[in-house]
Amino acid sequence: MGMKFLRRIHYWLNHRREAAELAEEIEAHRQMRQAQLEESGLSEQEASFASRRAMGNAVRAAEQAREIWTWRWLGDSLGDLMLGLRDFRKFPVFWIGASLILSLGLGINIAAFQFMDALFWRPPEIRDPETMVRLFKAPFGGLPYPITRMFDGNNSAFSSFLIRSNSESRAFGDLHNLVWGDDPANQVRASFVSSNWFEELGIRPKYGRTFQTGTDDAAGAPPTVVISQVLWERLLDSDPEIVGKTVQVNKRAAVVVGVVPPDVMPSFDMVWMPISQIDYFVPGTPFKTSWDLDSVQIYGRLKPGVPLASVRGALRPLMNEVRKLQPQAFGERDSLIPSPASARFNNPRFSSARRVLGVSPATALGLTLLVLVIACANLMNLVLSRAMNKVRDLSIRVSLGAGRSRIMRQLLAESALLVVFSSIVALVLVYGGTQIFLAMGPFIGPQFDFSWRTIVATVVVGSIAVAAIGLLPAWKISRGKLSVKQTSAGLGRTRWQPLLLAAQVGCSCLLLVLTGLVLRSLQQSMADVGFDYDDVAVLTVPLARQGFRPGEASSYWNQLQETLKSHPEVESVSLVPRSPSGMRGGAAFDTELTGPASYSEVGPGFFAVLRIPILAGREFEATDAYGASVILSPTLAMKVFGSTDVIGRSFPTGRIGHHGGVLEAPAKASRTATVIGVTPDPGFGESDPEKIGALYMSLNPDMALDGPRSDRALLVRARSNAAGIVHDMRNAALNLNRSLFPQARLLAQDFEGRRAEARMILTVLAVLGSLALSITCIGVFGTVSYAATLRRPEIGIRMALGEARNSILLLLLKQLHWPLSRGMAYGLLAAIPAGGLLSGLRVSVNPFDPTILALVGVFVLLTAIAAAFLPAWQAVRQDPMTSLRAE
Amino acid sequence: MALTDPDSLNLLPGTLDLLILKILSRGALHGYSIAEHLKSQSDEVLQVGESSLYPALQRLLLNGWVKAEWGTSENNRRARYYTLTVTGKKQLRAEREEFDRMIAAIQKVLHTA
Repeated sequence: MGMKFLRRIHYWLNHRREAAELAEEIEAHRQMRQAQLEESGLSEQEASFASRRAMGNAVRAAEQAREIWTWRWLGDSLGDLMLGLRDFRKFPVFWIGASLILSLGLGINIAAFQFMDALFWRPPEIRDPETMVRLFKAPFGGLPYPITRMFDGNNSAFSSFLIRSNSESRAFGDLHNLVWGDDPANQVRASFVSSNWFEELGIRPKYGRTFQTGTDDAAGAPPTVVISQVLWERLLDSDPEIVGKTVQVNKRAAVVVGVVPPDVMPSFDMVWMPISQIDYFVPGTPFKTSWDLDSVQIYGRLKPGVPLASVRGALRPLMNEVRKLQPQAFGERDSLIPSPASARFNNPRFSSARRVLGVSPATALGLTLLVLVIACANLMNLVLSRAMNKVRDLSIRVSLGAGRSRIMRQLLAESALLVVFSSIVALVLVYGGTQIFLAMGPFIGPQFDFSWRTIVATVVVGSIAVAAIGLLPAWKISRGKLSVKQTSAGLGRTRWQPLLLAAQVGCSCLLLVLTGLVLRSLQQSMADVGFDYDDVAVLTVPLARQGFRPGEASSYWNQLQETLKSHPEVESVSLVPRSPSGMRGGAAFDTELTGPASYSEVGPGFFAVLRIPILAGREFEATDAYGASVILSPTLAMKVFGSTDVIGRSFPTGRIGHHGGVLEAPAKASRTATVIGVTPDPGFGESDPEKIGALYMSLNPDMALDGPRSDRALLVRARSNAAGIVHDMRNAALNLNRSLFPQARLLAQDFEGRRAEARMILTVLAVLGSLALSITCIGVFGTVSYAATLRRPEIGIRMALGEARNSILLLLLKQLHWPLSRGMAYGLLAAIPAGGLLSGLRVSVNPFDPTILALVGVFVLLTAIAAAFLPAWQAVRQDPMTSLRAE
Repeated sequence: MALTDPDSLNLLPGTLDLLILKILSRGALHGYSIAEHLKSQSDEVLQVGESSLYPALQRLLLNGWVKAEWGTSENNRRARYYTLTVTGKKQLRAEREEFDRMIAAIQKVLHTA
C-alpha cells in the first residue's frame, strides 16, 4: 500500500516525462507494426493507416493510463477548483465582495483569538511546563517573603522553588513599576526574582547571562539586572555592547548582565533583579521582614512522577510548621493550592481575563463570532441566490450525467475556494495589524506573534465557515428537481433566504444594543459622580514600600500639606486614603440598622476640595479626633434616625462594627460617634436605581503601615488651572525627601484610566456592531436586488398596466417585512439577557434599557430600508419594455 | 471472430492483466511483442486495440507487478521492456488459480443448465 502511494507520488512528480515516455512507447509500437506490415507487402501509406487502425484510440489509451496513476477524487476536486476559478474570472465583483465580507468576519475572529490566546490561554513557554506549578495561598495568591526560607528541598513533591515578587500584591504591587533611567515619568515593569528563576524556567539569554545561584544572590554581590529584549530594543536602541554596562533602576545603579528574549513568562516584565538585592534597589522596604504581606509568588518544580493532586498533602508538614511559627499569618484554613503552567499559573479562584477585559474571554469571543455568523449567513444567502441563478447551468450538467453528489461537491468547492482565499486575506490583515500594534502599541511585550495555534484556529473557523456557507445551498440545489426546463424563478423563492436575513438583522441588533448599553453607562458615570473633579490634582507618594514608619509618614504628609497650602495657585488640600474613583463604589456595609451604605475615611477639607455640598452642619476639621465624629448622607440618616435633622445625635458606629475590615475605629460595640454634618447621597443623581447611603469618618492619622491601605493620596484644588500646579506638587514632595517617587496627575486623568477598560470594550463593541450592520446592509441590498431581478418581468407588466411606481416600490420593500420584524424582535429580546454578560465591567451596566432598545430598533430599521431602497428604486426606474424583454 | 473490443477482455475483470503477466513470465518483452504474443498464442482470437495494452501495463506498473526499463529492440529501436517482479510472479499464480476456479464454476453452470 505504502509503495503504491510512493509510486503515485513519483509519477506525479515526473508526470510530464512519464506522459512523454508513454507517447514515445506507443508510437514506437505503431512504427514496429507499420514495419511489419510493410514487410508483408503493403505500401508505406497503407501500412501507416493499417497500423493506426490496429492501435485503436491511442489518445484515449494515454488518458486512461494517466487516470490509473491519479486519484479520481483528486482529479475531480481539481476540476471543481478549476471551475470555481473560472467562475471567479467571470464574476469578479461577486467574488471580491464575498471574500471581503468573509475576510472581515474571519479576520476579526482570528485577531480576537490571537489576543485571547496571547494574553490568557497560551501556556508560558518554559522548560518542562508539565512539572512547573505556582502555589497559591487560599484565597489570595501571594505569600510573605519570610516564608520562602522554609521552602527548601525538604519535601516529597518539589525539587526546587522559584520566587518572584508579587505584582498582584496590594501593598507591593507598585514595586513592579520602577523608574528607568533619570526621568521619573519613564517607568518599566520590573520583577525581583530568585537567582534560579531563568535557569529553572529554561530561559536562555540572548546576550550575556541570566542570574546564577551562588553569584547574584551571594552576600555582597554587586547589583545586577537582566533586561528583556523589548526594553533593549526600545529604550537602549539595541545597544550591542549593553552587557556589562551600568543602568539606573529606581535611581539605583546596576550592571546589565544579560538580555532575554521577549517571550519570557510573565511576559509583561522588562527588568529583573535578584530578590536578594531588593534592599539595595528599594532602600528601607519592609519587604523581606513582614509576615503580613502578600509580597511574593512561589513557584515549584515538581519532582519526576509526582502528580499535581499530591502536592497539597506533600506540603502539609511544611504548612504546619509555618502555622506554629506564625499563627496570625497562617490560620487552620490557609492552605497552598497548586496551579499548573498549563493553566498559565492563574489563580484557580479568579479569572485574570475578567480582571483585564471585564468580560470572560468566552463572552468576548462569542461577540466576535456573532460577526462571523452574520458574514456566513450573508454569504450563504449570496451563494444560494447565485446557485439559483445557475440552476439552468447545473441542470444541463445533471442531464449530461453528473451525479447530484458531483453538483454538491462543485458548489462546496466554490465555497471552499472562497473561504481559503478569504482566510489568507484575513491572516494577512491580522498579521499586518499585529505588526502595527506591536510597533506603536503599548510598552509591553507579550507574544503576539503568529503561532501554529492561530493557524489551527483559522483552519477550524474556516472549515466551519465552508460548511456553513456551502452545505445549505448545495443540499438545497441537489434536492431540487433539476431539469433543463427548470427556470431560476421556480426555485427562486425559498424560505431560507428571509431566515438568513433575519439572523443577520438579529445579530446586528444584539451587538448594537450591547454597544449602546456600555456607551450609556459610560456617559452616566462621566456625567454625575456626585462631586466636581475639574481643577483637582492628585499626588501619591508610596511611602510604605520605602519603609516609612507611621509617625514619619504622618509628619511627611503634614509638612507637604502646609507647603502646598502656601502655594498661590492652591485653593485647598485634603488627604484621603486613595484618590476617589469616580465609579459607583457599591455598599461597604449593609446592616439591618443602616441599609446599604458606602464608607469613606476622609481628611479635613475633603468636601471643600471636591465641592461636595454640606447640607447641614459642617465638615471635618483638623481637631476632629478619629472615630469621634461622622458625616452622613440623607438616605443613611433617614434609615437610622428617621429624620434628616441629625446634627449632634450619636451614631452607633460600634453596631456596624468590623465589616470586611472597613470600619477600623470602633473597637467596642457600644462605641458611638457624633454626627457633625449631612452631605448628599453618593452615586449618580436622583434617578440612580441603586441608591445607597454614605458614611464618612475622619481620616485615621496613625496609619498602619503594614496594611494594604497604608498609603495616602493628597487631593489639591487649584484656583484656576490644576494642570499648572501638577509639576509644582511633585517638586514640593521631592523637596521634602529626595529619595521618594512622588506622582502627580489630574484627578480627571485618574478617572480616564479607570474607565479605560469600559472604553476598550466600547470600542470593540462599536467596531463589531458597525461591521455587523454594514454586512447586514449588504445582505438587505442583495436580497432586494435579487428579488427585483427575479420579478423583473412582473414589474414590467405592472408598470405597463399603469401601476404607480410607489406601489411597486412598496411591493419590493415588502420582501423585508418578515426578516426585519423577526430579526429585530429576536435580536432585541436576546440583548436583554446578553446585557448581563457585561455585569463584570467596573462601570455598572443596566442590562434592560428600553430607550436603547427602541433607538437601536429604529436605527436598524432605517438603515435596512435605506439599503433596500437603492436596488428597489433602480428596478422601478427601468423602462417597462426593457424589463419585459429581460427574460 | 477476433475479439477486438478491449472491453471484451474485461469480460472477467483483470483478464488482460492476467494474460500480460503470463506472457511476461517467460522473460522481458516490449509492448509490441506482448501484443504479438497475445495474437499468436491465442490463434489470432484475442486482438486487442493494441494501444489498450498500455493502460493495463501502467496498472501493472502501479501495482508493482512489473517493472519497465528502456532498452534497444532487435531492430535497433528504443523500446520499453517489461519484466515480471517477484510480487508479479506471486500475483500471476494467485490470479491464475482464481481464473481457473472462475472458469470451472462457469463451465459447471453451463453444463448443468
